[in-house]
Amino acid sequence: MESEALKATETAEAREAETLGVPAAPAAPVQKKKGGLKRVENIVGWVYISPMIVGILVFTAVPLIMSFMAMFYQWNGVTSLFESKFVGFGHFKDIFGGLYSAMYWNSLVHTLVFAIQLPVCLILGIFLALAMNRQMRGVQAFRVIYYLPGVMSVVAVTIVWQTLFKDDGYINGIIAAVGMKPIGWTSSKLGIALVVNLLLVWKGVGYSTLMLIAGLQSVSTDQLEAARIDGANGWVILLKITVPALYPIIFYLFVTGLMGALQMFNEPFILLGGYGIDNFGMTTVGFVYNFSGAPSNLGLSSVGAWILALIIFIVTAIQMYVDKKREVD
Amino acid sequence: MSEEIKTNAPVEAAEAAAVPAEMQVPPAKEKRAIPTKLIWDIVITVLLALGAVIMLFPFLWMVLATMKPWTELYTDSLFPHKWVLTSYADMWKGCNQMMKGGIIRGFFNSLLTTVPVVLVQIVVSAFAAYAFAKLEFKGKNVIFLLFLATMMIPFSVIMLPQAWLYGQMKLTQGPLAIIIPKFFGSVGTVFFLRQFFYSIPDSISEAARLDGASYTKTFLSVLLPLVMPALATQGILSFIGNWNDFLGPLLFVRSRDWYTLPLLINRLNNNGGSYEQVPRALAASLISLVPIIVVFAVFQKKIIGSIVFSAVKG
Repeated sequence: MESEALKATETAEAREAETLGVPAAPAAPVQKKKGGLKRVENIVGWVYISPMIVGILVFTAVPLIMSFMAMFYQWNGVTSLFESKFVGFGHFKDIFGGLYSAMYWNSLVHTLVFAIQLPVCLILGIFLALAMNRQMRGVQAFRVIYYLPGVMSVVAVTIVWQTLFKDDGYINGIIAAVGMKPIGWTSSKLGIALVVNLLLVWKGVGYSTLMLIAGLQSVSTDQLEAARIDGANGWVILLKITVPALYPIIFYLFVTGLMGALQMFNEPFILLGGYGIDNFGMTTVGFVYNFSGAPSNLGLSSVGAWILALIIFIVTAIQMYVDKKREVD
Repeated sequence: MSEEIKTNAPVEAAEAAAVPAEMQVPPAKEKRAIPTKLIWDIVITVLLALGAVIMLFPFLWMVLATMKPWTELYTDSLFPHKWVLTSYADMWKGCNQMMKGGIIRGFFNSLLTTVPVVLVQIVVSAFAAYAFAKLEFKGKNVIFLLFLATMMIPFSVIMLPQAWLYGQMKLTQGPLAIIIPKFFGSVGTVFFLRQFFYSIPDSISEAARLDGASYTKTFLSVLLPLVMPALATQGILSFIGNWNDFLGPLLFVRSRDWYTLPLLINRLNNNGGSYEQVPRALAASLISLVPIIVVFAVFQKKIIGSIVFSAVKG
């Protein structure tokens, strides 16, 4: 993404240089005027971005530095960081093999369990996109309906799911009515994994579908026709032509989805009214949030958050590497 | 479909030559070719409709659930046996106990922490986006890369020091902690709008500049109207995101009187622990969805268009 941005900036510069350069060439006074203009432009540019610079410095950079330093302090988040006790790598020891080791690494495992929805959304999304990309009546309405849960308030829809999936709720009532064994949706680990992933698929599949529909428009029709003339069946066409053509969008959806999934907090937290049995609903962000409250320990939180950030940076780096490689190919 | 028939044609012709009685087959197949699409359309429409029922069912169930006595929530009946509106009365009472002004105040708080935020954030971001796209100033590229780098910082890393910082600034006792910081623009919006400013030819702004208009006047009266559709899209997305936000208010709003709707509903629901309290939470949830449904209904083309835009870009 950044390399793209740079390129765009460069071309803009080139364009600007051209437009500035052409009239500037003939006479000296014009050039002087342009120089004055440039100084004004320099100031105006900085003035226009100054609110954002102030905002980023105060509300992002300062907390970022504090979060980094907090890793080495026993900070309660109430008093000043510098009045807190310096503990060196104490919090790191707690997370790597110490008191909070199991809790932290389990929270990462839970986060990944709740990310199972991601490939499900993508695979389901490909089929839905193929279905909705047909020339037929009603597809526009379907696109809107499937996307609808994605824009709805997470608290509102999660409470609906919580009620529907209570152990003695509507869904288990239906399951019992057809003669099957009800599932402990919120009282067993498997149940929690299922119900959170179901909720996330329901919320997320519409977005994947819309992105993939947009991607399908770029699949070359010539190639499709050629394959059909060669007598390839639908599955072969799907796997050999459509999916490879969609690959950039699938990859983009997977990476951005993974970054979102790694920062999961709301759905399991609201659905379980906390962290659920054996803290199975505690995601990594849940771990970070957990130590902001009653057993307040922002140093421990910060170490947990920075490990997560490192994982996210690695995912981003892989994305950039793959993108660059694809550009070269 | 028609291609398949073409490729089969020589084989069929050969067969037809061997067995004259089958001369009738190719035309019959051609006739069937049109219904095949129709059959597929019907099959796919039925499947998509089934899926649509699943997508919409929770909303339908939610609406009906607010019209049942709470004892009926935990049965396998969809429609109420007894139609009552006690959940709305409970919701009204519960909200009034929770905070001064009840649900009306909650709704007001949500509006107060979204509408001004969206308006100011968009304008501030647009100024920056214009500067990055159309103006030349020292350090532009470095600053832009730094801006982009902030997008990679996970919220969880900075959220707790932010909560402390807002507390020190005395913002957490009111709604200001989820308003003021957002006034300083959004990097994502800058990135999005910058693309639109690039697409405007330089000659347009230069013409205005030659007429003696200042940079700010040129920007506000000439360029901003040209990117209005993009501004509106970003505004709508920002509104939806802020209206639905849960973790931000959870961390940064300490006073109950300033709870936004998601916080209020979460409290009403009492973590799902008490069965009688669920209907009132559902009723409040339904009310909180109304503005989103209205915005989505009016602007669905824009919202879906922005997704298509990001798909093409990505």
